[in-house]
Amino acid sequence: MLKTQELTLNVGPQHPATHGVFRVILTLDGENVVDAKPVVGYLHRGIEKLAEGGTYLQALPLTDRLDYVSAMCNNLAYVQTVEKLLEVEVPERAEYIRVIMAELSRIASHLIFTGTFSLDLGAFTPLLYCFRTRELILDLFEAVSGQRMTFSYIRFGGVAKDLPDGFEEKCREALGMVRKNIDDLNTILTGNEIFQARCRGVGVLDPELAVEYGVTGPILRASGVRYDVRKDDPYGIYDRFDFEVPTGTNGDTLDRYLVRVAEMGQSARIIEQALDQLPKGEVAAKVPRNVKPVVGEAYHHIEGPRGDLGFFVVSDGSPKPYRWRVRSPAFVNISVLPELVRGLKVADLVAILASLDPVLGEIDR
Amino acid sequence: MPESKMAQLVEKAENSFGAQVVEGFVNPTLSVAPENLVELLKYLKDNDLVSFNYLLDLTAVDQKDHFVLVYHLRSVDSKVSLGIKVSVDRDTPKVPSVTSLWKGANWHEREAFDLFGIEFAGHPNLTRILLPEDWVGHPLRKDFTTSGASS
Amino acid sequence: METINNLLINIAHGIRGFILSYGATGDAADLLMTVVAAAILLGIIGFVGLYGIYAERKIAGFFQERYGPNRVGPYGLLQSVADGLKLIGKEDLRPAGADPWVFTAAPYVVLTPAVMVWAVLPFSKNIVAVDLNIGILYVVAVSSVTTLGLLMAGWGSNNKYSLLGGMRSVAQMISYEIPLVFSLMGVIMITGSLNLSDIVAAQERVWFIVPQILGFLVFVCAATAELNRVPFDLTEGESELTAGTYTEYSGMRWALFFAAEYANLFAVSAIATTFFLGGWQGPLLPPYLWFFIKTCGMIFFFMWLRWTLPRFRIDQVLNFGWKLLLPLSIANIFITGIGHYLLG
Repeated sequence: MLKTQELTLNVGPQHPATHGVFRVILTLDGENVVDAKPVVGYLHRGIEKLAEGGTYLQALPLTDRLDYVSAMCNNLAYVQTVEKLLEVEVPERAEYIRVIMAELSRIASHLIFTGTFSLDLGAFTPLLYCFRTRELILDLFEAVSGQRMTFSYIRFGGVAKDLPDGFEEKCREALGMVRKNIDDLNTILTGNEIFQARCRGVGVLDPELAVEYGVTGPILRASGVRYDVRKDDPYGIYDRFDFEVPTGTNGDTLDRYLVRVAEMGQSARIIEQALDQLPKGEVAAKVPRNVKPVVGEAYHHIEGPRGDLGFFVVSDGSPKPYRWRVRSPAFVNISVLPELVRGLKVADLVAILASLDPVLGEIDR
Repeated sequence: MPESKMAQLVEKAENSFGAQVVEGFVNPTLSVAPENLVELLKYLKDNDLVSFNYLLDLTAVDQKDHFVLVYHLRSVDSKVSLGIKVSVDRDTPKVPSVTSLWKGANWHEREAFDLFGIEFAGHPNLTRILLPEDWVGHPLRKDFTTSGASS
Repeated sequence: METINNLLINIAHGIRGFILSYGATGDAADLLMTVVAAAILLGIIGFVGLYGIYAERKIAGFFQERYGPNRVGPYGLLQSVADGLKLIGKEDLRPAGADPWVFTAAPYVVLTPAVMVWAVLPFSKNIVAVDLNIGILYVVAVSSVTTLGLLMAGWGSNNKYSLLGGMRSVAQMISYEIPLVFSLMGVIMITGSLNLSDIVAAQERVWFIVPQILGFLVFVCAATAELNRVPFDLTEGESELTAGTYTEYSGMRWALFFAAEYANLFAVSAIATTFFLGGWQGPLLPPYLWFFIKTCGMIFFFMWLRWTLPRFRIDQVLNFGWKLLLPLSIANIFITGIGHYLLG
């Protein structure tokens, strides 16, 4: 007598497709996924608690270690939150530099996404194309901050240093490469039959379900909900730039990829406008090293590469934050995974997981 | 006219659910008693004036003598935010779960349970999420020191 | 010219004469010559294994705008040798829960058919280890044993990823074996022979890729699947199944799988050359060189695919095999039959 049995498969925490130390407990019926249970926390470093133990400035490097592929955006979100408490005026030039850095960061992050996404679908070469281009952006970051990953460049009241000589030309050069890279991706990946077959209609996320889960960022927009903090709750000087918010219609894995590729182009547009308008002047307001905000609380969110990145800071008037909370978009986005993979194949799980673009530093904090 | 609608909504929340407008991280922020929380949030989510369909964030603050739960709602269509604060007793912190309203609340509530030890009544799977299953204590409580376990 | 063309044959005659001079009878000399041929083939397979990997990495580097191996030896030529030495020196690991016999035997079951196929490859006019008159039947029969080895590896490792990989390999091989054989039928119908040397000889005027273009395309697709290479590398599927069937293998056992992969790659390319690209036929250059050039061309094509395409999903692989390749290969047989009837 033949009998069938469900198979429990532990994907991760050490697995090539989990983008870090993420674990999914899969229940399989042959190749079909019956259920998936995500397990997070392997990279939990207690950043929120650590931040309460130091000064406001000492918490800044911790933000670098949240979403470590787009640390500039984390810096920006945190710094703007504290600036809300401090009520400082940020110089114009610093605002422009911040926008340039945040958008470069978004491009770098999306390049990693497209690269690893294609790798997870079995195509190795686009990964290296994306990393080659990302390298140019990291060179720019290194030139301004001396760091390649953990910048702590955006500071209370402005930015740490002015842009180095020749930054603008190098930046435009890098943007040219980004545009070329997008063309390359469209040639080698987007139009590929196999790629389309693997992505189209796979892991469809309804807009209602997405909103119910609180999913944000490119994933939400791929489902057709036009929610972008840069447009809906403008911060900094984003209202001065002309850009579009790309959205998808089907909410499948393909749309999540296409939205991110389109966003890279839009970010490049924003950076070019910012470079054109870049004023001269100071890059930082006078802010003491040890800031002591007034008693109160502030919440501020920005559009990070992964979605709505928010910081919630409670001050008790002392030099240390009383409560320091990150609203992590990747944490929320990944929680929708079981809804997407049920009934699909193991290979689809990998594609869908990659399309959610998790960064474990931010999920586990 | 989101402003006038918001004013109506806040008024309704004050009258029907005993909510109070308080100083907070967004404007407006409402404070509400735990027993009215779910009804208020349900009303805010489903009303015709400004539908707060989006639970952006859910977290807690340890105020040494009590916990404050912070709900951050967002209306995607009307582009406004609303804060909700709920004070709970520190010794037996217990609030009703809002997972029936937003599925996304699931992980947020698990996190608050994990790091603060706040119990969410009616949560489908209230287990630790970031820390190991056998962890003792709740690190984000103020009496939990990084050098040792919670008292 | 004639000397160069017959260089290898003359060397073989020389060896045979050398054996005869020691007083061996003609039959004994023939037997010994088979042993010599086997030894030479094994040597070539070893070489192909090492430099197949080197070529793969260099070509990958070329596609990805980087250098590839370039540290060990000139142009990194000794990289594979160094890697091989490292693999030999590695600890012989066998997981505690693995089935000891099945786990140990699997790499050999995969490698042996890969080597056996080489016996009938016609490298040049009159250069073939065993000139079987049912050559292609032998090739197809022997190469399908590989599946068994992969299934053994998958099952014997006692690892869920390996098991999934092993199951995939069986499903895939069963689906693609049939179109693979059918795609060759057209050529066999035209030549009326299963002997590989005869098939090459029949392409003196026109390569079979011209009348059998459909057969060639089906063959290339099915062969890629048989080789478990991208876009059909589901057996290994590193982003899904970590390393699939090979997950628990390391050291020399793992190296055997790799040697088998490249031996198979060469053999399949050689068969494609023999059946569709005119084998060793070609102007000016000596025939064995022509054979080598064409085979390398095919290998390059397979590597090109590997570094360009993403991977199929298992259901898409099976659909592609059963619903597209199989009907196409059958259609090819019909078209060939009709054409043969009308023209021949």
